[in-house]
Amino acid sequence: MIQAHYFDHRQALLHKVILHFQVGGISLAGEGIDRQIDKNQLQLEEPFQDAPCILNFADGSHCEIHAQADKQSLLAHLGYTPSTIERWQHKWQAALLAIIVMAGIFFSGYKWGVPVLADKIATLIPVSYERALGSEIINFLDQVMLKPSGLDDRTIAQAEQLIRRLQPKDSYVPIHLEVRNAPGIGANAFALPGGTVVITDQLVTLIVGNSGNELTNALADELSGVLAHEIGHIQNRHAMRRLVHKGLVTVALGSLFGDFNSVVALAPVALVGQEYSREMEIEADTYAIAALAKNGISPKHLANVLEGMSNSRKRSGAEATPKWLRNIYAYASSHPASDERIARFRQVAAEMERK
Amino acid sequence: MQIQTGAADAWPHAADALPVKTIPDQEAATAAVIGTDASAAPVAEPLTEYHPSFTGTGKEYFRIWIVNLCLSLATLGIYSAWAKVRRLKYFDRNTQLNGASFNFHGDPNIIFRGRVIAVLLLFCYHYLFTFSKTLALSLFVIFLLGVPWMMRSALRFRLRNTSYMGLRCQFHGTLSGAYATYLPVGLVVLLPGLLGVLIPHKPGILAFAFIPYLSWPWLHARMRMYQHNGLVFAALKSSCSLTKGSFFLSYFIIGLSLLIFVMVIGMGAAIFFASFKNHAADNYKIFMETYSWLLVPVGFLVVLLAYAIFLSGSTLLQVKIWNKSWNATRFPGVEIESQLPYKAFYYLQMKNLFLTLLTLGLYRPFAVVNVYRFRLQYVSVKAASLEQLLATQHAETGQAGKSGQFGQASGDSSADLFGFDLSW
Repeated sequence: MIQAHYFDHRQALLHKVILHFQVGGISLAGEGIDRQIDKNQLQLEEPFQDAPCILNFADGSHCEIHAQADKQSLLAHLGYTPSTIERWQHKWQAALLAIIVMAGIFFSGYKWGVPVLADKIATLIPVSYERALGSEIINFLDQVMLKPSGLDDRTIAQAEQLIRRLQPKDSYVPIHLEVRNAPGIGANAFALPGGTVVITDQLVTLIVGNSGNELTNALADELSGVLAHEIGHIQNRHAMRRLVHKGLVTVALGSLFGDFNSVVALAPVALVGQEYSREMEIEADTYAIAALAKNGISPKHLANVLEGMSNSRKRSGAEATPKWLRNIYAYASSHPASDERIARFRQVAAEMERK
Repeated sequence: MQIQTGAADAWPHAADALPVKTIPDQEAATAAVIGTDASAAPVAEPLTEYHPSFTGTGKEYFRIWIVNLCLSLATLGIYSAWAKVRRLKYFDRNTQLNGASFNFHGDPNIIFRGRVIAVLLLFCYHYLFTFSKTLALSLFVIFLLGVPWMMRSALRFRLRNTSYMGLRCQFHGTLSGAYATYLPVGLVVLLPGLLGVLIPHKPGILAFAFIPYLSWPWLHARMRMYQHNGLVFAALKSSCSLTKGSFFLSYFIIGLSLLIFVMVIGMGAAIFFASFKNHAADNYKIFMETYSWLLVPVGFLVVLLAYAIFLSGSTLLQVKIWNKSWNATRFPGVEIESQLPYKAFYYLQMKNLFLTLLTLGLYRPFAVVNVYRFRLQYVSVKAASLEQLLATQHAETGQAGKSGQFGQASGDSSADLFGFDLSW
């Protein structure tokens, strides 16, 4: 026998009733109310700790049971069996396990799910779209951070000559070179979606020096090394894969935290940030070594440029950051350290010389 | 706008007329009221205050929340519709007024269908909008025409599935009212994106596209008017005495103070850096090189501080609008009062922010419960006798039945995803 509040669903009126437990169900008794309700004519809603229990009847009316002791005896009488989810919710250990499960889902999704899915999607994207996106991006970069090249026409022509020589015959997209003055970026090269390789004046100057040397012989081989690496990115569609990957992560995080970003806002950041994964850099390096070998160029030239680039970064003060902090950044960014790549090129070059 | 103001004018009359009608009924109903001490109600009835209470706890909600989140994640979002029902049931059933609790009856299947549509729409908006000009224009029109309908459907779904004392609530706002209210909102929100696609690479023009946002105080007031004018419980229809200009002063003062503050900080920083440059260009360079590693932690602190200040402004605005909206809302014979205190609410929000950051988000369910309880704590309902007034309210025919039309849920969860405030 317990206290209950009865609502008939015709009137917003609280009837105080006494609820009796009976063999086949329950009975309600109050002023003007005398009901017998069969066990299969009632349904108990999921009980919450301090909220009143809600007992629904088949005709739409319901009872609310407030007192803690009354709730317990009602549950006992009805033989209420909580669902799996309710039992999960009730136990602290099980609920905390959910955190570990979620961390696992996050980690495996990020580590394996997203890259595989991104690669699948990237192969489905038509080349024409990739090229349109590439020209969109270079237009955007020209507006915000790139300036027309200040190099003389002959040097640029020599660089274009080099990339023509390296272009593979079976390339899925024509490859062409853009040279730009980029004081904000410094000596660098990057590959855009759709077959465009961009090198900066600063990179060419780094290779040829300020004395006005021509892009020939060893110096030409050094630039060829950089170009071959970028062509490696293009042949493996790294830019597009990376873009789709970033897009997927953004969509996933956006759906979770409710903030979205559009592809165009994202693309320049993704490319200028050159955040290729370690695997992608290694893949592009492997391609570069093979392409250079085909043209009779030793990978040691590429090692020389990389060294020059990392030294110029040091001089510009980017390395004034304390070492421990740099290590944290390097660890978080998962880029292959330049030293590691330089060592690889030197080793391959040494092996080739021995043969 | 015509429709909106017309409706706002019409409600107070109805509000004045109804209590007179209900008084004879009340006397008849007194006999039916059992065991309450309302029988000694005098003729010139003083208003009694009724305080809603909340019996939920952060600890209990945490476990519901984490299981909901885990299952939503594991099912790639499919479970989120069921999670939403569980969450709303938890909050509604733990909310009590005068000895009776609220309840939520939404069908998760319908919410799920709505979510699928919402995800498709969001995908279109974020990824196809920049694809081509014709596509952008057609999507613009579709959204403009669709959003008011969805907002109204969302309000209807939410209220029709909310019950108290065994009777369902309703939303009474008209479709034309929804268009009058939400069409200008949609225009203001979508215009910058559309112009960005139609006239690309012209940041100057894009800046002008944000000017209509200055009308936000009026738009916001009109949204609140539409919502608070359309609430129905049984035969009791709400009326709202807000006007289009009700929020202007709050927005103006808070917006101006934040602007002045940002300018002061900006000038301070400019003077700080300029002083180096005046001394010697090298000093500046050396300073930047030596302390560049400090930029990350210092930047983090600055962002946190800026957020605390931004929060002080936005919380004040929230408190003002919340109080104004509810104080302006009444049902025939029922006054609603909200006295949410600013300072205490701000401390609560700051505490919630820091603990949520510190626990990587795990404090969030506690924060949600805290805010919900705090808001409810300062709301009161005033009526001569709530029992007698409610006892005269009868269910409308067919109201108690299942309300599960497709369009309703589609609207509800779309609006949920678009992040409009339907949390009241």
